[in-house]
Amino acid sequence: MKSKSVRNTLSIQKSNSIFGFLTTLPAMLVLITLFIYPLLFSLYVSFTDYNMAAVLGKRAINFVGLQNYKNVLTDSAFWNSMRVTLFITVIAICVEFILALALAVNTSRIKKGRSYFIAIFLITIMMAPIVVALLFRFILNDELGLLNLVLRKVGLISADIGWLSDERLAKLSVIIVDTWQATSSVFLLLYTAIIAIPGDIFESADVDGAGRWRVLINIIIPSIKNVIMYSMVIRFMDLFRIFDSIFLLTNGGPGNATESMALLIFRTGWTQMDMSKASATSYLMMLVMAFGMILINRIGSYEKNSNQSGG
Amino acid sequence: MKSIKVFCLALAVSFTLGATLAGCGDKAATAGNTAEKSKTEAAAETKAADTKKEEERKPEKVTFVTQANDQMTETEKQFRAAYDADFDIVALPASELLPKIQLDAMSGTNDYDIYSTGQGAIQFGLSGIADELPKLDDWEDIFPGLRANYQFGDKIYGWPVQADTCLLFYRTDLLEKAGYKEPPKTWDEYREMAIKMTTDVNGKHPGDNGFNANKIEIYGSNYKGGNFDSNTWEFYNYMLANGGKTHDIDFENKTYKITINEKPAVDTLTWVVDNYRKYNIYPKGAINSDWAEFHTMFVEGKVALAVNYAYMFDMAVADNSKVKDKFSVGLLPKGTVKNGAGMGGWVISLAKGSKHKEDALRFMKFVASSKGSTIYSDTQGAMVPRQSDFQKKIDAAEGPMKLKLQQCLANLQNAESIDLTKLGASYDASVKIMNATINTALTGKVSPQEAMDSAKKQLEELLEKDKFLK
Repeated sequence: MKSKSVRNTLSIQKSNSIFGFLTTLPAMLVLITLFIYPLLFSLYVSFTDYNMAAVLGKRAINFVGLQNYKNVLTDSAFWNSMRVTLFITVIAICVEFILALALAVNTSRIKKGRSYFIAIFLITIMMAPIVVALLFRFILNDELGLLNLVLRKVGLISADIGWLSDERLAKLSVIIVDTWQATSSVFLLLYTAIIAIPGDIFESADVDGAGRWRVLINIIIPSIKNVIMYSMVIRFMDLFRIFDSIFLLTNGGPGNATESMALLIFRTGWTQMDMSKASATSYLMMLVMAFGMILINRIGSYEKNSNQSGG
Repeated sequence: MKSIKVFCLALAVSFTLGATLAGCGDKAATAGNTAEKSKTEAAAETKAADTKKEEERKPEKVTFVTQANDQMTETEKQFRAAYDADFDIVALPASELLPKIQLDAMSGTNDYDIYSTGQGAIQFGLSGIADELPKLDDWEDIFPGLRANYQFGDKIYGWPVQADTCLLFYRTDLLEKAGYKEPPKTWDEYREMAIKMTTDVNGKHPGDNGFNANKIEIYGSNYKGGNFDSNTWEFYNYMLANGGKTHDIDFENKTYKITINEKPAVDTLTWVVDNYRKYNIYPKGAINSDWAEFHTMFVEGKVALAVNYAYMFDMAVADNSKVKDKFSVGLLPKGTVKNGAGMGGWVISLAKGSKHKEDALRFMKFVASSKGSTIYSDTQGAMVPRQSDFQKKIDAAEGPMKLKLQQCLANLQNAESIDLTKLGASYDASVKIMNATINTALTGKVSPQEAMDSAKKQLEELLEKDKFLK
């Protein structure tokens, strides 16, 4: 027989649970209406032939099964956009992490004026992606751009570099723009994780004569690995959906050298009004993203398990 | 404790609902007002019909949607001073204008009564979201190419409110230095002059021994070769001069044929690609160039010959321009067939779902009239659509402005409609196909013929999917 105090405790806990559920219920209903319903509707559309002609009432909407998915998977534009997106995502993640880690580690070592440095690094997060893209469109212009002008003046180049006009460099330019803006958000995550590491660990390492490189590899990185994995997943999702900067910098050009999946979906759905094909492409993109996230998590779990087993 | 929980719960519910309703606020208000208005309108119309002979009905407020720009405030101000009824102007960014109009019409919201766009009239008409319009009383006074821009067969889907076309811009100092007395008369002459005026840091020209294509100081010409709409607009100036076109439509039998991969269009693309890749008369950055890069290059004095819309003239004569007093404008050169030019402009269309059609038409008649279109063109820095008004402007102008207007008139008289506008609902997508086609050809990855063959295939698939003419 439960004592009165135990019964009271259970009653309070139950009451709190119900209260918690009720307060989140309105938000959940809004989420279902504004998110889940459109998601399910677009899934339905991906199995039909819903396009401009259907929108204009020129014909009925028909169920076509997996035809849209087949059309997408046999479309060279889809595979090109997949290659472009993967290239930009993988390279940008690597560059951003290396830079962010270097900044975070060095900033954590600053004794005086650290907050000023952090404030400067965070300025880029506060700028709208569209503004950044427009700025860089002119900075990276072959003939008129600031970057080529500076590089020529300091004697690093004698001829203008085609940052946005060369197909190979255009992809790197997109990475540069994204890195410039997004590194600070990764920096912030890594920095807060680094400063949370207990100070006595660093003191012990110091006493043992461990160098900076050793401290980074053997202490800092293992200690913040969860944060690294988390931020990699977030950045992977953001980069895979890259749209704004490409739309303004090159609009997918030169040719289709920078046409990302998001841009392809936008064109298919919003310009060609082929909603069904755009929906099918979106779901395929979602599957790839899910696979990528699982892969990153698996790598993180594998590392953790092998460390725990003494590897 | 319980009262605190109830309070928190009420707060959470009201916050969530409030946030949701705020986002749907306009639509909800519009829907509510519409329901109320329908009842009121019906009552008002009945009353007006009864008392029509005795008193005039006050026109209802109409909503006019157009592209946002710096000059729209002045346009609105002058309209309000000249028009005797109320109206709302909704100004949207260029990239949102066509999609939002389509969304407004197709979703059944119908908030807009009048659409004002560059080239959307036929698209809206064939999509069934714009009404057919009668001819204006002075319809024949409007430039022929401009009238054709907004007509599909004998159906008119828009009344022009401004005209626009390209001019030949040329540097008088560089022309003289290169030994030329006059601007080019044909596109072949244009290329020849551009080659001679393209100069590297050592003063050498393309074809000279030691010419360095990576260190060019002055480019003979330029091209808006980026994957943007400006690309296709510029291309049409050259293609029309060679007698090229995208398609042939048989209005009577409702059939069409895509002709973009035929000789005139392919030769035009080859000419543009060779200018870029073989003769180096365009800047390297031309392959990613849009309006801003193009006009900046000219105004900064880095380009000798250019083809662009008349707006660039005003930038080039400004005090901070590096080419002020060093340039002039002229007739676009002749191609293999004629002196061609693409007809641009701005148009107003009547929304099929407009809730105030009569009043919308009344406002449209004002805006499209000689007076209204002159206000519109003057405040927007554009050209009037009527030949008689144009001549009056030339007579009243002086100095550089007179020259500009004279050359505009000469080019307007040759200007033809951009035939992609005839593709109705597929217009926007077809422009994007052309942008990508020309841009890809400029990379050199495919030949101009291959690029145009691909464009033909894509256009055919697009029109088939959109049930064009069906």
